Amino acid sequence: MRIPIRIISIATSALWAFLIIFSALALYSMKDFQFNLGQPQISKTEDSELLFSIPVFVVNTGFYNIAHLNISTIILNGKGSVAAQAFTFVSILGQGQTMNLTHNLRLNVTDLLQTRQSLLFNDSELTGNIRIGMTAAEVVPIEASSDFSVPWGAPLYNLTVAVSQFTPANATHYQAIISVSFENHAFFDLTGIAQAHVFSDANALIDQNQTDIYTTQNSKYNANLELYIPMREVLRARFEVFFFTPFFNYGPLVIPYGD
Amino acid sequence: MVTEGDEDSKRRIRRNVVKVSKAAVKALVVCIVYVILARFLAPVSMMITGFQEMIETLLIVYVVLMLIGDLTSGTIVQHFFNAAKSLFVMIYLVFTLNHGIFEYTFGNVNIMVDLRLFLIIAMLIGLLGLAKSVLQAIDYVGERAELARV
Repeated sequence: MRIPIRIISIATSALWAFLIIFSALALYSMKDFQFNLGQPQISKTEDSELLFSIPVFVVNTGFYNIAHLNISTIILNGKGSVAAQAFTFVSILGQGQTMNLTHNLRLNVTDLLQTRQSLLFNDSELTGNIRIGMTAAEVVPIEASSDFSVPWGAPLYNLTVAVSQFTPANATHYQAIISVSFENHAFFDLTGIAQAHVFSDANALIDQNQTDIYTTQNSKYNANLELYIPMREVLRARFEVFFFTPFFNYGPLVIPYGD
Repeated sequence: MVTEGDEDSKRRIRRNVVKVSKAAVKALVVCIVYVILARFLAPVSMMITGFQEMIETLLIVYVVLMLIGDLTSGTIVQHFFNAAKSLFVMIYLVFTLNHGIFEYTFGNVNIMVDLRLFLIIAMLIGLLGLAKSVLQAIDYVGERAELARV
């Protein structure tokens, strides 16, 4: 009986020593793990989605390898569903290794604005969540998560559409000038078309006109659209304004005119 | 002239001195190991409040049980304390490590450490220690029975 007891005793001591030393070193190693997120770069994809490229800098100078490093991000649309999500995975980050990654998050602005049309006109904040998971020393799963908010700038902030002028142009027609103005607070340049239609009382299209939109970030847009209306139709008319951009289509904005 | 009773008491004193010295050396070794490990665990202790207290409580109870076990060596009580030591380590780890899922909030960052594998291994080693104590107790009782028969 003595020998098996001695063997068990030695094995228990050795296993405890191994477990304690390994755990202490694995935890200590985490102090030498650095994870930095850089400033996101925003660009437009061919599918008219916004691409947030977030540089990630990871350094592992600990004693052990780090396995299954994964970064996942989600942005919520404010109505409880996911507007964008991204996932970056590194199978193994060796000891003493440094890695530069890019975490790409695609945001479909068209879908987002369809779900929350108020984001077209009002600055707001989108909430999101970032999760960073890894397996320290290839055996201890660790996960860190945090909520964050992304400021959202409205592309058509302070949108004003009005009939600014309605004067006789000649003996048969009136000239109506529709003035359109807004501020582009979005984090992308806004390009597209602003289109105005005028309809008669009988719902017949009388005239239409359009103008290009090009506004850089944080700049104002002002445009005048001229429309000509036969004098016999002037009693009651209806103006409709539309916006067509790669990110969204909006309209009609209806301006009734006459009795 | 030295009587047999004096010899006996001298032997007993010597045995007790050895026991106490052995226990003191063991406690010292555990304390030195803790001091060394504490340096490695310092970053974790700074981040997680209560971590150091958790380790210290485990260590104090472990050392006390170990000392009592050593001081009562040569008796059946030693094996009870050794078994209690193994059981205490297992139960303490299960409860303090929240069944292996360790969660902590640091500012607005939630950190989750999955220590289930560590806990399973610790449990298995603890069971091995418990088995050893049981075997030692059986061996001790067997030896006593044999001596009584002789």
